[in-house]
Parts: sequence; structure tokens; C-alpha cells
Amino acid sequence: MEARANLLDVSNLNVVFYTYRGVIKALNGVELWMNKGERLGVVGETGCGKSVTSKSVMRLIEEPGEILSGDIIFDGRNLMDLSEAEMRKIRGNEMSIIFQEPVSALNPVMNVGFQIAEVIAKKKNTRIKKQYPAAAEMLEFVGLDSERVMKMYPHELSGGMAQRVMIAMGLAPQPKLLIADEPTSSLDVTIQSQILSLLDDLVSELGNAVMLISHDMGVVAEFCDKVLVMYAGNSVEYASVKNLFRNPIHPYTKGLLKAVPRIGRIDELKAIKGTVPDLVDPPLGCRFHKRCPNVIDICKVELPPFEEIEPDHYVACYNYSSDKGGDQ
Amino acid sequence: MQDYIMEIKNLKKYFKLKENIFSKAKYVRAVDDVTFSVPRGSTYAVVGESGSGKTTLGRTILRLIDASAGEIIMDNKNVLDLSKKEFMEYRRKMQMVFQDPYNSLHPKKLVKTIIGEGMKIHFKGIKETEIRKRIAEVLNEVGLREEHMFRYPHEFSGGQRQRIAFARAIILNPNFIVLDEPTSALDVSVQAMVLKMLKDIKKREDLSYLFITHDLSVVDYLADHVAVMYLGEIVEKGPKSKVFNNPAHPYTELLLNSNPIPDPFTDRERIEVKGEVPNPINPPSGCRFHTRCRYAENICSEKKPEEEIVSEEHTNRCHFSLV
Amino acid sequence: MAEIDTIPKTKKELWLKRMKPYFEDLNHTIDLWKRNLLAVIGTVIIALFILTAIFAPLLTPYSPIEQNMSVKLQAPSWEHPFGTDQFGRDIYTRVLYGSRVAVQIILIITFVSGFIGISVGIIAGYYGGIVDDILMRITDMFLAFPRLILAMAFAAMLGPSLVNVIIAISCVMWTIYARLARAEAIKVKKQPYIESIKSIGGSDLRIIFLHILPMSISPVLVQITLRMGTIIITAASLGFLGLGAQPPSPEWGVMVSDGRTFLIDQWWISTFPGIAIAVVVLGFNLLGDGIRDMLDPRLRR
Repeated sequence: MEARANLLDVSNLNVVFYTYRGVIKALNGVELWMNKGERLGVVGETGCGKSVTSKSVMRLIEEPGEILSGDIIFDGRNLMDLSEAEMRKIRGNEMSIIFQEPVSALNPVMNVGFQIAEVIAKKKNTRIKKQYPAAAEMLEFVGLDSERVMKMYPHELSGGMAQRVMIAMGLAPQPKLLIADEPTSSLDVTIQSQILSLLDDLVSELGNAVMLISHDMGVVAEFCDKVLVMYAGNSVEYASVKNLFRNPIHPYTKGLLKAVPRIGRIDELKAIKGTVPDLVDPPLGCRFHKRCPNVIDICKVELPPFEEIEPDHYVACYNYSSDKGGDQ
Repeated sequence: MQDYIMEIKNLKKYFKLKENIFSKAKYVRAVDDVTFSVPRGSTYAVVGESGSGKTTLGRTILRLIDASAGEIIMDNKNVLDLSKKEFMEYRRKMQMVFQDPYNSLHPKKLVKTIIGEGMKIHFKGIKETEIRKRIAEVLNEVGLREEHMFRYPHEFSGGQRQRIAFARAIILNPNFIVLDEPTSALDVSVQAMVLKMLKDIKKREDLSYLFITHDLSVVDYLADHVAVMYLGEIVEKGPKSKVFNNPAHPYTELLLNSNPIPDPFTDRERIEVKGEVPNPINPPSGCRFHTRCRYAENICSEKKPEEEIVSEEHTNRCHFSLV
Repeated sequence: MAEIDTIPKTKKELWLKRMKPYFEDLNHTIDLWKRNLLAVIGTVIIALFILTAIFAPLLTPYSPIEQNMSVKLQAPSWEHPFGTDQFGRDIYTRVLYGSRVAVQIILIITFVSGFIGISVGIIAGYYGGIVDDILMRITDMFLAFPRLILAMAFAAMLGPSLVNVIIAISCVMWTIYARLARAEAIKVKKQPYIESIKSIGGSDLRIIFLHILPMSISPVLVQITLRMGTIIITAASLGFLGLGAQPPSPEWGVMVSDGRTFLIDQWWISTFPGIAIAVVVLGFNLLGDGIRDMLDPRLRR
């Protein structure tokens, strides 16, 4: 099969978690791809598997989870074929990740300077001490006062500063792909705005690809070029940001957009009826069919394929043309 | 004259920090001289970032924590002056729904027990069958079913739990409810449902809300009036349409501008955000916002701006009002 | 959530609904227990210990107290499997009856010290401030001494008897439970559901009894089982030192002490009660460790 994009191409990714309650089928054939320098937003609600997807791409799924099958082609190599040692070389080097809770993602007993220098030293294969100047440079780059912040410990940082440090660490090895897992969800709106515009500037300058995981349609709309909508462990719709917001096709995406409150919105909010399925025992067929207004018989038995129905607009739905689109 | 369900006058809540021998006692001015009135039947939103004191304000109003100074007038009485016994009646009239639907319901009690507890506290000696009847009523009202009362909280999703929390609040027939970020832990599709429910029940039961939140989009959907808080003070307040369409305070302008818009076609000038929220133990002098304000001049750090009237019901605290 | 909801019509149905999560929890616990060999061994030992205490008279023809000088100091034989002591009493019988004394001691001490500890701890934790300071400083005073020494001091002060041993050990043990209960109460107190009960007007008493107590008691109960072994050892030590139960009571510590002078030639007098102490303490420790593992949140889920 030909790769759909030149940086990352994830196909048919299946991930499960073994728990006492049973096996959680967290990802059920996820499809996702990115070109170099592109910004992909992955959106969905709690439990849709967006974070699991990002962790799987870095092969960071640990016990009791397991990647059952799938291909993760990153820059020409299939990550699924690599050994753990080879994977370690790629992590924090060719791809890096920043998390939602920046303060707890940093090592509490090491100062900030050391932690950034360590990342750079690993990439360049030198001693950590030699990389302090480079670390200071990175801190200046993300808008922090390097002289002061280098010696600070994580607990002394505010949320916004800690997220800047995380970004510095993430970008320091100049990765081809930066995964940002809800990078601003724990921050106040004004700080979120700061961090997003900082990330915007830096990434424009460095040209990394960014995968932004978020539940906030607003953040994705402002930051990303492409959007992937996920629902209950499936990719349901993929398109450019403008296309997706202007012309959503999957009933779930339509419902989601009608549910988002925003300033100046005149029409009434519309919720999607029902609740997210239990992934221990997901419904047969399309996992959205029990909540879907367009449901037809085949939806209840067979998982719809993720198909290109317009140029560069992919949807997994059998009955998208029906225009009831999410109205309840 | 406007009919107010609650008038809050010069309310203050200072938290004392631990003293030690070497330093004088320091105070965090979590709520500092806050005055506003909630019109009967309206939703009054209090907006602010973390550290603004909005949560403390809600708890002080309900007397979950003691106020340091000020008055809260309800039915022509200052509820802060009432004794514990006299206050019980107001406890019933003022209810609260908390932010975290996962921890605000007792995990080891049946929904029936959780919702019915208030009835047992306020109507001593009430019959179990009567309580059950009433629980079934409120469960229906919040969009759940009677048989749900025999389940445990963990069997419900976040949105359903928040409905249960709301049912617990309305079972006592209150007329004023403090909603502390009731939807911020919920997903958007669920949030929409809960917001709709809140709106519907308010109309049906003739309730007034004090709605505490950081999310301006939700405020726009639900509120009639808005007060914007920054470091314990209300910087701007007024009818929602006025505040949102013509923000007078630079902080309100900044908040509105920072709020991400879920529409890639809107192109707007982003205001550059300076600095972070200062430490409330040591708030900046003069206007507390001056350290982050793009219009700030010398006077802002020297003199605290007075509250001035922008237009009817719309007030602002700034030396360089934008309107 | 797939199951169909019904409105329970009888008291029994309501009870079943109410207990459902507890049954599920229990099933899970039993499942983990089965996979933990040491915990199973511990449980078997303790079960045997309790059964012995209950059925002691049925397991032996002799009396534990009555002396029979004609068979004194006999080595283990078919007639007297553990031998006899200097008064001709059957050691096997005395060890069996000793388990009754041990069970009594454990039950009473656990109840008394658990009650004091939990009350003090929850009151201190819930009210905080000066109440907490006073109660916890008192607890610290007790904790400042090594437990055995303090128990000896109390026992010596009160005079040697079984009742006084129980009082002495209770005075020492409650502090552990108080500390734990306080920590739990503080943790539970901060939960939003407690605040939400305050917001509907719940009184302090209501909150303590109906909400804090049930939520903070289970870790204390685990600690209490863990400490049962310690209680036996302490009681036996006091008995051995002559500060506890007095002869002719078949208390194991007293029995070990009785055989001291004959240890070279008639080793069985001290050895068998000693083994009994060791086995039962081991049983409690295995069981306690097992319970702790079973409640480990990392293993649960």
C-alpha cells in the first residue's frame, strides 16, 4: 500500500487494555496520517482514544495495555518492527511529546536547566554539562528568563512557565514530529492564548509537524491545518480545518459542532443524545450507531470503512448523505 | 425598582496565612470588597481565572466559609448575621452544585440516599414513601428515571452525575442556586445537554442562578448578567450583552479575545497577553491588573481606580475605560 | 449498565440492590485472595486457631488446670502428645486451651483500642485546629515510648492479672489506630461530597457518623488485623515476665515461662506453647500482608 503522507501513516491500529472488568477495546482500527510540517488536530470526547493514539504512535503503551496490530510508518520506517532500543532512539529525538500536566511531567528533583540539557545531550550524544548553554538558549527561545529559570525546580514554576519549559524540552532535539497532548487544558484562558501563540510562532519558525490532541474545538480551529475526529476508538472524519468546520459530513462531527457553545452563537445548542459506549462491550458495527440519527441497517452489523468521499476528506459512515445531521 | 433575590454589599473574605515568629501575619484577599445584586429570576455569571476568588465568593455567599466582612441581603435580612438555627431556612433556599461530578456524590451511597438526605435534614420525621415520591419527581425533572434512584453514582456517566447533583439541589425547593463550574468537567456534547437542562429548569421552577465559571462561551449561552473578577475584585459588571459587546475594562477585552473560537474562518487580531496572574498574597498596587495591561500608565500603579458607571447597570473600574 | 432497572418492591430486593457493589467487591477480593498462596496459608492457620479455641474441650480428654503428680514431667508419647509439665498437666491440652485465652485477649483489646483509636482519630481529623493539636499531642506522648516497655509499665502499675494486661495493651495500641483514622478522616473531609452535604445543611454529627466514619474505617480495620499478631506477642511477653496472666492459667506466655527451669531436660514444656505463639503470629502476619496486597489499588481494578 502506498503511504498516504510523507511523515506519519498509521493504519488499522488496534490497542486493548486488559482490566478486571474485561478487555477494553480502546482503539479499533485507527487511521491517521500527517505530512511534514503539517499541524493535525485530533479531537474527540473523553474515552475516544485520542491520547491512547498519541501514546501508541510513540509506542508508549504499557501494561496492562497492548498494541494488537497496526502499522505505524514514520519517516519511511515501520515503528512496529523496531526493537525497544531502536524506539528509544526515536523518542525524544525524532518525535517528542508534551503533556497536559506540565508540572508533574517534569522530574521534581532536578532543576530545569539540567532536564533540558539532558534532552539535547541525548540527541547529540555528548555530556550533559556541555549542553547548558544550548539549554539556556532554548529557554530564551520559549520566552523565559534563562538565567533565573535554569536553576529553578519544577514546583517553583507556574503552570504557564512549566508548559513553556515542556515546549522547550519537546523542541530542543528538533523533532520531526511534536505531539502535544492537551497542552493547554489545565491552563487559564489568557495563559492558554499565550502558550498557543508561542507554539504557533516556534513551530512556524522550525517547521516541525505537530499533532495536537484536544477536546476543545476552538483550540483546534485556531491552531491546526487538518483535523481528525475520533469516536470510541475509531477515526470517523478527517479533513482540512476549514472543510471540516464548514462542511462536516459524519453525523457525529455534525452533532459535536452543534453542541459547542461560543460567544455570539444565536442558534440553540444541540446535544447528541445517548452516551459514549462502554469499550469493554462496544456495540457491533459502527460504534456510533446507537446515537446516530442517520442509522440504517448495515450500521448495526458492519464497521464502516474510512473512505475518501471528497478530495482529501475522509469519512467512516454508510449514510452520510442523509441530511438529518445530528438534529435531535 | 428592580427586584433582587440577593444583594451582596462590600463582601470580603481574607484568608490568614500561617504566621511565624519572624513575619507579620499575611492575608490572602481572596474576595476583596465585592458588591453586586442578583435580579430575581436571572442568571448572574461570575467570570475569572484561577486565583480570581470566584470560587471563594460562591462558598462565602452560602456560608460554607465565614465571611470576613460585608453583607448579604436576602428577603431584607442580612444572612451573615443569622444564627446557625435561623440560617437553616436559608440553607434550604440557597443550594449549590459543585464542579466535580465524580467526587461531589458520596461513592458508597445509593442515589436515593444522596438526593433524599436534604429532605431528612430539613423535614424531620418525614415518611420514607413521601421522600421517595419527591425523589422520583426531581429525577424526572432532571431527565433521569425513577428507577435510577436505586443505583450507585459510579454507574452513571459524568453528565448524569451532574444531573443527580442538580436533583439534590432542587429537591428542597430552593430559589437561589450557586453553580460552581457545573459543566467544566464534562465533554461538549454532554455539556450542551446539561446547560439546556439548567436553562429549562430555571424557567420552570422560577430559580435564580449565580453561575461561577471561567468559560465565556458558556456564560454567553446561559447568563443575563456578568461580573468579571480579577484577583479578588470585580473589575467590570453589567448586563451580558453590554459587557460582551462593549467591554469597558481591558481585562474583559483580553478575556474575550483569548477565548478560542471554534470557527477557522474568523480572523481576528490576537491581543498579546503579558505576564501571568500575580500572586494574590501580594497583589500589585493601584489597579491590580496594571502589570498585565497594555494600556497601563503611571497612574495605574499609583491610584486604585474607582468604580464608575459606563451606562445603565454597567460599571467599570479603570482609569482608561475602553468605552 | 446494560441490565434493566427495576424498582425494588420488597425490603430484600432493596437490600440486594444496596449491597450489589459490596458483593462485587467481595468477589474480586476472593479472586485476588485465591491467587495469593501465602494469604491462603495465613487464613487456614487463623481458621484452625479459631476453631481450636471454640472446640478445645472436644479435642482432649484432660483438664488444663487439674494436677496429676503421678504423670509429671513425662516426655511426649501417644497418651500425652506434647508431654506433661511439672504438675502432671497435659501440655497438648494446655496449648489448646491457651488458644481460648489468646482469642479473648485479641478480641477485647482489638475492640477497646480500636474504639478509642477510631473515635480520637476521627474527632481530631474532622475538627482540626486546637482539638486536633491537643488529641494528637496526647497520642504522641504514648507513641514516644517503645510499645512493650510502656505496656510493661502499665501492667506493673496496675498489678499482674489478665484484665490488667488487656487494659495495658489497649492503652498502647490505640495510638496507631488514632493516627491512621485521623489521616483518613482528613482525606475524606476534603472530598467535595462532604462539602456538598454541608451545603444542604448537614450537621457535624451527621457528617461524622454517616459520611466520614464509613469512608475512613476500612484502612483502620486492615491495620487492626495486621496488628493482631503484635497483640499476641505483647500479651505473651507480659505473661512470660510474670506481669500478665497468672498460673495456673494456660496462657502461652506463662507456659513458656513455667518450663524455663526445665528447659535442658524437659524441653517440651516451653517449646510447644512457644511454637503455638510462633505459628499463630505467623498466621496473622501472612493474613495481614495478604489483605494489604489485596487492597493495593495497583492490583485492584
